[in-house]
Amino acid sequence: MALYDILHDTTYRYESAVSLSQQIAHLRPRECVGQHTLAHRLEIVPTPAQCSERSDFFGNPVTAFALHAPHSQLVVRARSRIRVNAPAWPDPALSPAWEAARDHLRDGLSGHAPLQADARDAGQYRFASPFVPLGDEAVTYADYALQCFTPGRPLLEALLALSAQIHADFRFDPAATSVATPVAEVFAARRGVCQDFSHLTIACLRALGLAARYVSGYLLTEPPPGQPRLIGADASHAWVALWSPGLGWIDIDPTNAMQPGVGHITLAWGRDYGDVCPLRGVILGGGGHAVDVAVTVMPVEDEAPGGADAPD
Amino acid sequence: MQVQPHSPPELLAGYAARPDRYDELCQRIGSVVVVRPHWREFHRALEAMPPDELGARRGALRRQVHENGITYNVYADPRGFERPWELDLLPYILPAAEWAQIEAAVVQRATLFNRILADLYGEQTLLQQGLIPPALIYGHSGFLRPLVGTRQPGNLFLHLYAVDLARSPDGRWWVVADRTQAPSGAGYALENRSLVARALPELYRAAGVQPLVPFFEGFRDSLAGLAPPDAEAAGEDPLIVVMTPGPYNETYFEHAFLAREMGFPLVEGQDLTVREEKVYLRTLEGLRRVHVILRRVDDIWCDPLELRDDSALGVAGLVAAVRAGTVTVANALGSGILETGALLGYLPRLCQHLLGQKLKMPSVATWWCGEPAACAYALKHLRELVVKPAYPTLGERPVFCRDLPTAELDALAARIAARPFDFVAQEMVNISQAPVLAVDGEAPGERRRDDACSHGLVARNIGLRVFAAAGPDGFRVLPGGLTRVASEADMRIVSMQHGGGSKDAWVLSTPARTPPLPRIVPGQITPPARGLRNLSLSSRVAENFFWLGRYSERADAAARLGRETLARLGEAGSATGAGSPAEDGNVAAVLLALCRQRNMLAPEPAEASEAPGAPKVAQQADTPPAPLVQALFDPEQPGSVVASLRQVLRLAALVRDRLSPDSWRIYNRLSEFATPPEHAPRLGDALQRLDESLLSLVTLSGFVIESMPRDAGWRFLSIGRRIERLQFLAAALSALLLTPCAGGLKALLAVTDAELRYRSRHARGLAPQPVAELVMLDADNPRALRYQLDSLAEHVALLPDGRALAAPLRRQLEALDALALCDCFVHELSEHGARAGQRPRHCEPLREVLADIWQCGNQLTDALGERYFTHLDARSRATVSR
Repeated sequence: MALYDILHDTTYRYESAVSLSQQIAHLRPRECVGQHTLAHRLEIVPTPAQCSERSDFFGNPVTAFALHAPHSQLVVRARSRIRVNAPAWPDPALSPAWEAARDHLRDGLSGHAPLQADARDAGQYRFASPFVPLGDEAVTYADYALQCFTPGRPLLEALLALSAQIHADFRFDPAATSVATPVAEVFAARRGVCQDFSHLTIACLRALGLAARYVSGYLLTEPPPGQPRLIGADASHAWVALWSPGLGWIDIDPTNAMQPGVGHITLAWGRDYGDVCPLRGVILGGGGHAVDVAVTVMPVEDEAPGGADAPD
Repeated sequence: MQVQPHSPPELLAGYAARPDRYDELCQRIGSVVVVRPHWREFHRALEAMPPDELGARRGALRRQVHENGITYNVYADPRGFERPWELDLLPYILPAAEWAQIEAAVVQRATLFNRILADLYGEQTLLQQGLIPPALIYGHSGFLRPLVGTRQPGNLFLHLYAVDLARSPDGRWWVVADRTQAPSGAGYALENRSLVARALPELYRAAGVQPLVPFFEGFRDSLAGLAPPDAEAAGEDPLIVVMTPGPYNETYFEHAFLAREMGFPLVEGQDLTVREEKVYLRTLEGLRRVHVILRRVDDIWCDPLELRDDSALGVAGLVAAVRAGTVTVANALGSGILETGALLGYLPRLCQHLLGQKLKMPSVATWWCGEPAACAYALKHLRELVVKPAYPTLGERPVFCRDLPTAELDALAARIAARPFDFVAQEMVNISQAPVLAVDGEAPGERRRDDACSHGLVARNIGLRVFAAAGPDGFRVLPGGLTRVASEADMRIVSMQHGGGSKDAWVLSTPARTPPLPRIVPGQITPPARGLRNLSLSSRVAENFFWLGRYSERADAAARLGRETLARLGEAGSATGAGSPAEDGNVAAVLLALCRQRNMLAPEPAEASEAPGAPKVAQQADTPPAPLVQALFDPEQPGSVVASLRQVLRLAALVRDRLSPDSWRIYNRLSEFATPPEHAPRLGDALQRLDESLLSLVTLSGFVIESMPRDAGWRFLSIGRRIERLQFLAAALSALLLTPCAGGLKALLAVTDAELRYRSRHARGLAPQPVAELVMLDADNPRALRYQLDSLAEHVALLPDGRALAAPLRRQLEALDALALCDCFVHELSEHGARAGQRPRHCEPLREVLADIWQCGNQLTDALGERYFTHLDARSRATVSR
């Protein structure tokens, strides 16, 4: 079990005044198995004219807000205290053969066989989505994945192998891609960031006929021994979850080729980045803009609330 | 009308009823081919016409299409951006009994589709029970997840539905495709009716055709009933708008037409804004709440915040407003999902399940490859099938497998096997044929020669698009619809986008169901009930009217100035000219400089760096007329007559929903002059062309004065005209009054259309002061400087918060009044001063006033833009953070 205080600050600076700004934030961590939000607060400067909370289609909490007065800077600060109690990974060798998962989905989703509610929900994550197009290029993703998804191989073994293969074949390179870089380009250039590796993994899994979703969250990066934690050095993170009949959703972090544990804090999930991006908005005016994101994940020793920075 | 006793033999000579298709006109009884009963009366009437009559009526119909400016935009069309609507003179006729069956089937299908939509965006029981395979919905990019759980007034998701029907060789009707997103064509159908009924009035009356107009009136009234309940509680009159992607959309004509006919404002996404989860229209008076949006924008483009974030067509926050129930969007956002061939196979059991009925009209046999058994069948019989994407993909056309080389067929089969969910395969249907009037064997939508004269009927493949609209007591069907005609004899796709023509569809009345007396104009909707009509003007429309006024005045000034300059240049170049060559050369040089200043002519290299102001006096006009002739009609020359007229037409198209059909016809006539002549015209031709352009422009402005309602649009149009004329007068006065040149005064009177008035007042010949009085100071001369200032001050003061904007204009008026009394004005411009020779006139105060007035026009334009117009540079943009 672990306890964290998470600071996620986003600052937009605009060249000229923005007269109208409408924003949707995925910044309140969702409740899920092994994770509970003890406290959460969202500060918005300047104060929005309107602000409301709801759940989105995927069950993530979202905050929608709008600013009607001219402003040249927007700051959104999210403060969360989270308790994580990550579930243990099942024994990969005992998971079903990957073809069984594929056929289960195919038969149920095509109306060939009845489908249970959880499998039907998993079907949401089985098809192409805006950031994971699967046209004729899907065949290349499938071929790449089939190197790991050999006939009859247990699903989770194959998943671990794919994650390791991507980690080995691709280089982490923040300069190589932007938010909008298509998966096909990442696949060709063999480099990118966590968002790219996640989309690529999802593309591979869906190309095989499996259901995979995009998880947005945070990662506790351990400082080297003897050095202090760098505040703000951490970024928001992303990984993948794969659905297996009987086992449900299993998380995998292809960027680090690891099974997520207590160091992974889930913020939201969806079909891809577009469903869960932390802050998306439409502005009127503004000219050019610069965005600055700072994330800090601090382990908390004592659960008792206190200290100047404690969330309320 | 003259009636010939015997029929022209060639009418049916070229008409070939094919055995493998159903023929709408003829049937075979034994070995005899006869005209079907419901066509007989019409056919007889055609045969009774004199030989040239049909051709003449077809010509009149085509002219009418052009005059009404009915267009269908095709992006890659070589004929240009707007393509005239292709309409056949002959209607497509359906008997009442057969129509009753079609009607019942369409009502059932619309009802069924609405129920399916309500379930998919609500409880989703159909997915839970497997009645619709989940893959079909989850894999569809048109399934808009942010809309799941939203409610609609009356549980109506589908307000206007269209279905494409075709008839198979055995005479049965089949559904080929459904249109649930934002169906187009109903407006064209209405326009077709009014045109054909006018071209064939006696046949139309005799046939007893069911009228179309009640359908539109009912639809309009039921839209008003969709306003959210909170509007009624607040005592607000419902504001209904038609939302269009803009004039580049292929069916923009129809958007503007329907908006105008139903009396709703036509808006673009940027005209709307969402505040506190309510939708507002930006108007001159401020924000006005919108209650119902009839959208012609595909749903995924409707909200950059929650749907596609790269959309510039939508309204940020619209989905949130729908979720909050403060606005009704018709059709509901997300309704496009039903436009998939993959659903067709499931409709019989869905109909049984949801309505407890048998599906009345079958769909063309369709196999969705996402279902393993269907996929196996499709792959086995691929050669005979048509393959389409299961989910609508832009630009992908159906593949007729029969035409594919084996290698390509195999490649297609491999793609289907790899991604079965993404494909449907459909049976090929031999659709029916109907008669089309052809001249020299060429039917509408096909290449033709204008000198053709022989005519007859030919058979073309047709499809019928039928429309249903939700009303308080269920769906009502438009009796008739849009008949689409394949463009070539063997064309298999019937589509306006891929070429082809259209027909009016006549549904005959049953004897018991006699139609009401035909209206005088069969295609016109009666004015809406009180409270529906709404004249508040969006900022964008105001801006378009303003520039429409400016450019039409600019075209007028360019034509007048061009005409005068050409005339003077012509005289200068010929020994037989009226004045002495030297004198006229002088005034021609001044006029040329003025042309350059107004961007009607490229600047001379030496002149290019000079600041605009009073044009420099050139010693001699060396320029022969030819370059000017060319420049005047050069669309690339920004101030040319043709360039200005093009702007006029562009802007008129943008406010088309607010222009009456008559005024649109006048704009349309201008389009003749908005194209450069094919060959460089000779001087005489150029002068004539300028005269004709001017005549059309004058007709237009006369029409504006006489017929346009005095609303805010008219006010902005007038302000635009006045500012443009004000600046032209300031420049012309500065050049021709202050620069001494012989013939200058005459030219000034000519370009300001003041010759006649001057002569009637001053018999003694030209003198500077009386000319200045007339062109500058006369409060009653609509082409005098003072008149523009007066009129502008009056118009601007009447705008919301306009008083402050009018103040600078009043100051200019005072300056003009003061000028009339100043010494230099009296002396320098006196006849004595003028006779004193060709020395420049040093009337500094006059020069200053003219320069100030010019500036004042610019400042007013800026001020209007700031206060009233939409800023194009302030368009909304999407932002994201990692």
